[in-house]
Amino acid sequence: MTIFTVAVKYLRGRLVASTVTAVSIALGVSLVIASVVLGRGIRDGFIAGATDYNLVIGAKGSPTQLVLGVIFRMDLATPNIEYTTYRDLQQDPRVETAVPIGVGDAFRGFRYVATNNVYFAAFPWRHKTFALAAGRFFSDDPPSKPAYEAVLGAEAARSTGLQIGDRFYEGEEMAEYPLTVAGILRPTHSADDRAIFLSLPSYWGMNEVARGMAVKPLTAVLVRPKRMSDLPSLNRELNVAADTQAVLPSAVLLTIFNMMAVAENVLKMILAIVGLIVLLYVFVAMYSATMERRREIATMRALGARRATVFGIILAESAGLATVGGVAGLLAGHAIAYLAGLVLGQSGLVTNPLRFNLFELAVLVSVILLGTFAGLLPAALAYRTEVAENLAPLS
Amino acid sequence: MRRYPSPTRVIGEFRRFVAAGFLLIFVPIAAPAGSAEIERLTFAQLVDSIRADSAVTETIKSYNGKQVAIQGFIVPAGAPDLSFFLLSRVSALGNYCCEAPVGQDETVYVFTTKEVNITYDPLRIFRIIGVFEAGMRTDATYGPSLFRMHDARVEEAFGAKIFKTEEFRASGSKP
Repeated sequence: MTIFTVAVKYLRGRLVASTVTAVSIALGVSLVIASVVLGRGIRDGFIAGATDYNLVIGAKGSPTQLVLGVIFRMDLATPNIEYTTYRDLQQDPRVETAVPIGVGDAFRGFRYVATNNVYFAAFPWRHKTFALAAGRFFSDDPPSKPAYEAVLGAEAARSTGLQIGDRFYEGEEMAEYPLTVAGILRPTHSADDRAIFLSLPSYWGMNEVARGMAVKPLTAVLVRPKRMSDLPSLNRELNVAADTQAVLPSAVLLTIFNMMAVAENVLKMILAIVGLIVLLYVFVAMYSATMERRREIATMRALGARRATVFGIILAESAGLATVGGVAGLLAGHAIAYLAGLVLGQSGLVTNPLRFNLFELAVLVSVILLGTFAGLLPAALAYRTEVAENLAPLS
Repeated sequence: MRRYPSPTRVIGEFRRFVAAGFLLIFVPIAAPAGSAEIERLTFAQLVDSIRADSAVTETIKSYNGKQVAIQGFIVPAGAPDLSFFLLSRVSALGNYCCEAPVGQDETVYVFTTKEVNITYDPLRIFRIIGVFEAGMRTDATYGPSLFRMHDARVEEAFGAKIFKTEEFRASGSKP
C-alpha cells in the first residue's frame, strides 16, 4: 500500500469529519473566488458597456448621474438641455461627430432612448457595432410629421415579446401616440440591449409640453472630437457655460471603480480572516485526528513503517483534504458568481462569470500549500510518536 | 514518564517549514525593480521642440524608440480600462479657475498594453514610462497626434521635491 492509499483510507475512516473539513475549505475558497469573479465581472461589464464617444454633455448636476443615466440607463435622466447645444456642437470645428440623446419614459421598464440614426452608425474608430436581427431602423422623420417608429434592443424585444409591426404604449395619456416596432437589434452586450430607440421628432411629438416648445429639449449630446487633445478645452468650455456640463465618461467610471475599490479592500480583509479561520480549522481537525491515532501509528511503526512514511501519510491526508476542498470551492465559487450574474444580469452588468484565470490557479495552489502546511505540525507529532509508550496497555 | 516531543523542538522545526512556506508564497510576487536609468522628458522640452529651432526638434526626435519617463496629469479620453489616455501638463479636468487647457503640443497620447492598476485621480501627477515617439501621425481610432508613448506603464509620481526650511533659506539668500 502506498502512502496515498493509506491516507485515503484514513480519510474515509472518519468520513463525516473529513467531509466537514473539506466543505469548510470549499466554502472559504468559493467565497474568495465568487467575490473576485463578481468584482471583476462588474468592472468588465462597465468597461464593455462604455460608450465609444469621448465626451458626454448634459445639464448641470452630478457627472455620475449623467453617465449612469445616459450611457448605462441605471439612473434617472438629468434635466434637459436645449437642442441648440447639439447644433452648436455639430458646427464646432473641433467636433467630428455629435449625437443627440433624449432619455425619458419607459415601456415595462425598458427606457425610451430618442436619438438619430448616427447613434447606430459604424465609424472606423468605433468598436461597437449595431446590426438588425429583423426589420429596419426608424425613418428620419421631420419634426412636423413624427413617424412614431421604434427599434428595440435584443433584451427589450425578447422580454416584452413585441414583434415587427406591433404597436405599444404605456400609460393612458400615451394611448394617442402608440409606437410601431420597425426593427429589432442583435445583442450588443451593453445597456442598449434593454433600450427602445425612437427618433427625436417622435419623442417630442409624444409629449404635450415638448410639442409646444419652440426650442426642443434633449437630455445629452455624445461627442467625438477630431483631435483628442481638444477634449480638455471642449470639456472646459461646456463646463464654464451657464447651463451645461461636460464629462469624460471614462473619468466618471474610473471614479466609480475607485469607490468600488474601497469596498473591495474591506472585503479582502474579511476574506483574509475567513481564510485564517479555515486554516485553523484544518489544523485542529488534523491535530485531533493524529492525537486519536497515536496507538495506530505506533502499531504501524512496530510493523515496520518508517517515521517518514507516517509523516507522509498525515501530510497526504491534509493535502488531500485541501485539494478536494479547493477544487470544490473553485467550482462552487464560479457557480455562485454565475447565479449572482443571472440575478444582477437584469441590469446588463457582470460579464463572463465562468471564465477561469491565472489568479484562480494561484488560489488553488496556495490553498493546497496552506492545507498541507496546516498538516505539518500534526505530521511532525506523528513522526515523533514513540512506539513503546503508545503500545503500552491502555489500563 | 511519557516523552512527547518537546514543544520548543517541534516549534523549531515548524518554524523552518513556516519560513519555507512563506518564501514559496511570496517570492514570485516580488517584482524585479530597476527603472533608474530611464531618461525623463518634460513638457517644457516637448513644447520647445515645436517652438524653438530645428536643433531642439532633432533632440526630441532622437528619443524616438527609446524608453522615457514623462510626468503629467491623466485625461481618460479612451476606454475606462486606460488602454489609451492623454497625458497633459495641466489638470484640465479639475475645473481649477486659472489653468487653461493645453493643445496638442503639450499632450502626449499614451498607449498601454498591460493592465493599468492605479487609483485614478484627475488632480494627481502620474509618471508614465514608455517608448517615446515624436512627429505628426494619425491613428485610425484616436486621430492625429504629435507625441506618443507606446507600451507604457503608469506609476505614481512622488510629486515635487520637499525642501527643508534651512535649505530653502540658503538657496534664497544666494545673490
